[in-house]
Amino acid sequence: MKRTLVIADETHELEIRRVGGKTVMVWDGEEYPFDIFRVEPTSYSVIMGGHSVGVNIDRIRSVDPDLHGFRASVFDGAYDFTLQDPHKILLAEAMARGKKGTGSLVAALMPGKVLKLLVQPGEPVEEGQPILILEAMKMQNEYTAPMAARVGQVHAEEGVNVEINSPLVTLVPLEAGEVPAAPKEGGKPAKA
Amino acid sequence: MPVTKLLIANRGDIACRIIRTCRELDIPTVAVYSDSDRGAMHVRLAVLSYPIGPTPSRESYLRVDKLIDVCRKSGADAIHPGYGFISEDTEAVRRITEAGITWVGPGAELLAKMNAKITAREIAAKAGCPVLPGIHETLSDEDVMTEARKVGFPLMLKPVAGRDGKGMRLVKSPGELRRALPRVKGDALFSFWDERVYLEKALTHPRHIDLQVAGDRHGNYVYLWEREGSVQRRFQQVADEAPSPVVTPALRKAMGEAAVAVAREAGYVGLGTVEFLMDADGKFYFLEMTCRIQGGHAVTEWITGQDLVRWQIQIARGEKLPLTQKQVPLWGHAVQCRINAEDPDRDFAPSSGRILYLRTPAGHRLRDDNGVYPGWELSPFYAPLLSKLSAWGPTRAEAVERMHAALSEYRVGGVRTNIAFHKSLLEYKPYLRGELHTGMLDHAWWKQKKVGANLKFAVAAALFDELELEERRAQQPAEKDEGAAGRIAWNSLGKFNRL
Repeated sequence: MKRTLVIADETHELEIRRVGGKTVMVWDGEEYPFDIFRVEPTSYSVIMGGHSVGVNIDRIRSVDPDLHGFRASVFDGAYDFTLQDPHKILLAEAMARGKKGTGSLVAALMPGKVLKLLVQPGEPVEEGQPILILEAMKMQNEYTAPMAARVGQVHAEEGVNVEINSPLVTLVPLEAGEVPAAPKEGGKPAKA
Repeated sequence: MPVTKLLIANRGDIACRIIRTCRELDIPTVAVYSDSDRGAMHVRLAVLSYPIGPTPSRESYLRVDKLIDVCRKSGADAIHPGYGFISEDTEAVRRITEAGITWVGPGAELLAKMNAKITAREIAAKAGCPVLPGIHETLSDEDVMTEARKVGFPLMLKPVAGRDGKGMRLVKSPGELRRALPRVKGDALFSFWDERVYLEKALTHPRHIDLQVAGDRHGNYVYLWEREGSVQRRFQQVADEAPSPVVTPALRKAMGEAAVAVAREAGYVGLGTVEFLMDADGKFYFLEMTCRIQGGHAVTEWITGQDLVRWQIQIARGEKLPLTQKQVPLWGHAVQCRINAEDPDRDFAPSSGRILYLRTPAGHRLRDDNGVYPGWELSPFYAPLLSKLSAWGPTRAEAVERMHAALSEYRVGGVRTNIAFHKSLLEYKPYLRGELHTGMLDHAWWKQKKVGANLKFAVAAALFDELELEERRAQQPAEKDEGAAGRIAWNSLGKFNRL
């Protein structure tokens, strides 16, 4: 079985095989035999190169059914990554979709109530400019623009409760030369 | 005051912790639960359990009428509030005591005095305890601006009715103060129904030192040493320890005696905490008094060998304090980490959802005060605390090492946690050197770890999980997923109808 691993900005080509009772992982062409034993429904004991490591697997539900998200916890922390079937999807496409989502969409970090909307669609915003106030966990949280941009769509409404990850405001990256000038973020128009 | 059957007006880890002591004392316990807490751990541990309404705490855990009603129904003659919820609500305490129910905590008059931060400050000053300069009168915003310039910046802006660090804001300039005033007032009104605020001179790099005190009905007072809660994030304590790494025996005595003087001046009966801010020179100032058990109490229990909930119950019963000042032991060092379901990589956003996997650490001189279990669904309506993990060692270094090892063993699946954050804290040089101050986590010291050495193990397990899933699917194509099974059922039904 072949998979493409995507973690942070790295990708690796992986394969897993069972060879005569042994399990082998091929990592970018290099073979790593290992022994694995399921100790609890979502928890494995892995022995690789003599090292015994416990791994707990959380499958993270993703909008894309072919993009299998994982959060694997080991003793020194947790790793978030996706495993993708290279036969099924065009990896590049999925990544392009993922990239477009970050940065330009301001989403709710926690469930709460939109107290105040501070921007209008079409309005230019500077990096760090407050765009709305979300009341959550009994605190007023200020959401600021992550970059200089123009306000695209406003998804949130004042006084309305939102779930975690709910889209609040979409920011459209500025065209090159557009005011307020932000050369760092400019010149990166989103592809339709 | 009888405490023969105790209602615990709380939930989560603290409710479980109180129930455990009651089991030792053979006091039957009464749990109360909101709609979403039917399966909560405290309900499972208690002898009796009663529903008290919908999930939002204002309609359940904060409803005094319902709590009194459950006392009547269950025969409970006392209420322990834990911390948070009604624990410092003067009006709630008044109604409960008027209903003839024993309140495990200081009475309503005491609470009223200590809750009004300005009155509390006056009591402390009268007891000879140093206080911080500031503005304590209720003034118009314009007058506040003028007075603030006189006291000098930086200043701490706080709600008068505030507690637990909620709604506090540090202001460094008149401009910041002007901007912060409406925001802090808004938070205060929302959280405490009181928009009055006050200002206090802010110290640079202060330490937050809590003195645990107790007073009984017979005029006896003791202090159970200090806890240091300087490790804070947005004024919320993240890690606690006792004793403080910088408090010397002489300073400990001075602070302890000052704390007892405040308690005595107030006529305090119950377990409480006198909070101090301490500057780099070891000068300390009264901050406020917390009139309930605190989240950090376990570290005090470690170093004194006492059970503070047991103390609370004994005091409420009118018994004498179990120890005199001379008898209070001080053994070794203890540290505590608050394990929250939150994502340190996403600005500590609370993480709600089902706990799919839970393995808590075990071992010598280790304690995990938890209130959850695998399969439990964390509600976004309540604080996302999973447990409070504490460790003891003969020295601070050994306690920290034990805690670090324990955190490696702690695994939670299904929700994000701050375990990795705590581990980083325990590796953070200033922390290890004991150089703590309340702003130590304000700068962006926390970084998401780069891809580490154990990635291959993590990925191997995930790959294997995928392989097994694929093999299972290959064997049973009809049960690919529930949706597919549903579709097949629909299809055949449709066909059947058309026939």
